[in-house]
Amino acid sequence: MKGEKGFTVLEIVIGLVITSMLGAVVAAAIPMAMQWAPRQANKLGVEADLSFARYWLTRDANAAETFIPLSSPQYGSLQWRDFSGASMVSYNVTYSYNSATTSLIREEWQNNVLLTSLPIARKILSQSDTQFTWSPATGRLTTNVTATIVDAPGVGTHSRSVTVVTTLRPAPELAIAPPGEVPTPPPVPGSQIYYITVQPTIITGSYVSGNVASLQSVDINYYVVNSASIPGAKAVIWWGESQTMTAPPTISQIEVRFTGKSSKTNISVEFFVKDSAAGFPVTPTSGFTFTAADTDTTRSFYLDATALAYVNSLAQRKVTFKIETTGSAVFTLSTNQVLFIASPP
Amino acid sequence: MRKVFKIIQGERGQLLPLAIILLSAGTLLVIALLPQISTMLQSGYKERELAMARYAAEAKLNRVVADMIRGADAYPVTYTTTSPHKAGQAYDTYNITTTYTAANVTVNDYTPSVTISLPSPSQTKPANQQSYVDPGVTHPYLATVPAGYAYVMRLYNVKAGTIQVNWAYSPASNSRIGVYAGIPTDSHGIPYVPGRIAEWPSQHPILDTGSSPANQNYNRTAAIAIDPATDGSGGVYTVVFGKMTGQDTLTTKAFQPSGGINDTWIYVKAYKDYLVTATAGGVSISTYLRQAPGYSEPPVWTSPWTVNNPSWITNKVYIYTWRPP
Repeated sequence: MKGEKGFTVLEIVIGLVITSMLGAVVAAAIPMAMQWAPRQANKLGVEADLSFARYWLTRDANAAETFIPLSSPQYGSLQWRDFSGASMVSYNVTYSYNSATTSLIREEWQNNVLLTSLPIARKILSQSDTQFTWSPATGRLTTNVTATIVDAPGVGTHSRSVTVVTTLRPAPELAIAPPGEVPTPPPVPGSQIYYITVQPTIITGSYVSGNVASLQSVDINYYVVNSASIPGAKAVIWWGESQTMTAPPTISQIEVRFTGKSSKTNISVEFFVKDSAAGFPVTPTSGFTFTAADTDTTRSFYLDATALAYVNSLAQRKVTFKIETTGSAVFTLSTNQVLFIASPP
Repeated sequence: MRKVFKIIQGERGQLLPLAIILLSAGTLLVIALLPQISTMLQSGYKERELAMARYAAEAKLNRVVADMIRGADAYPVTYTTTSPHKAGQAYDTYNITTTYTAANVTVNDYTPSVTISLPSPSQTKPANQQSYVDPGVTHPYLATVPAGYAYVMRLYNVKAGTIQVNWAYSPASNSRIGVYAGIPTDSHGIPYVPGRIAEWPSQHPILDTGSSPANQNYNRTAAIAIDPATDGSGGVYTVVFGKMTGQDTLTTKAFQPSGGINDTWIYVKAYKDYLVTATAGGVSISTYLRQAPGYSEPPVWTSPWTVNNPSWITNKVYIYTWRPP
């Protein structure tokens, strides 16, 4: 034993003291460590989710042409068209809140078919923790997403937010009034142009040529109908429907712009816009007379309050309008373009 | 007490093994945490790099758009057109090839590449519209047109539709506007160079106002339907603003897209569509762009378009599709 070497008493004493202190610290830290790990995982998860949400919101807003606010639990819809492929693809990305999973959900629709639905941010405790603020006048969309971790009772919560501010692309080219026409006020920012969506239905007259594409641009292609006899006169009567007006969210004014020509002069034109489920009104919404033959003439008119209220009440907002063109002699009505310009307040 | 100190002084300890054990434990802890730290660092780095690459690609696209606004023919082609003629008449054919190279842009240490192409004929395209085009009212040869001279300008991407021209000026005086399908030539068969000419083209115009009333401070053509597919123009149309008789020097009034007689404009359907994709660091952004009215003269095609030799017409570029990565 005399020759043995070992820990000295002092070392043992110091060791015991240190061990005791460490033990006390570790004993206190173990419960904290058990909470710390999942809490850190939660924080990392929230950070990752918010980063994910920021990516998708930025990406969608960069691509979008317009934003349409929607009612709860949806926030709104970003919409755009993709012309880069063989066929145009319309995109509609809807953001909504799922209270069951406390998640911000992104749904992507292509040509009205649901393509993906995924949560892009979790721990969103209430619908109001995500806000979309849209300014149609400036095209600016501000999105704020707040995720909150509720830690163990008594420990508190941890919130993180991300704000994405984007400016949507300017609206594409707007239709203009041709020379010589009384200039109409330019559409207010946020206005959206729509075209006739299906081939018109002819009530009176005989179809000659043209189709929906003929009615979508001012060019050499016309939608042509020859007149037919009605009591005491000759007439062309047909009706058509606009595309579904998905934007702006609140339509306060709809302008209908007609460009066409008649083969004869002094042919009167009357427009009727459907203002109830019952059908077209008896009184025309607007009208004019072709004062020259074979000369493109553009006329525009605004929907009256009744017709506007009716369009706004529809789930699929569309303008249905009828054109009655009458004269005393046989004539041909050639329609070059019909535009519908929906304007926000 | 003295005995205790004696014991302590004589002791020899074994702290080294204890230190090694503690160091080993610490090292193991660091090694265990390293992958997580590394993953977090890599994730942040990758996200940052992707964002920087995206910004660089956007910068490249914006550069191309800026060039288009200044009149660049971003997808150079050979335009085939003819001298103005009536059906059955002889005519000359001209091939005019444009040039364009997108300038390099370096952003965030990325130098993005760009591919520019034309939509295929069968591809669905956005609806098109007539528009008002500035004939180049700031060009010195149109800003003032002395007696005996005319200003020649050309559009290269005219589509089927309507064409009408209004020239507003002061003082009230007579003037003449001619619109030609293709490229008019002088008496020697040499194409008129866009800019100033000292004679009126003798070839067949599709629109000609003749000498306008001397008491008017504008001259306006009729509106006619045109179709490049049938008139041999290939989409190339020449407009001549002339003050061929009298003594006055005409000062051209500003361009306004109004359709009114007090502004100078060309009402026409002219545009060129492009598919443009910019790529940086593996991040690509694809776009569908419409440039209206597209390539024009002056400047003349023999003096290639550059940022320092841009068009006198400010183009509009409409972004119909912006497809992010």
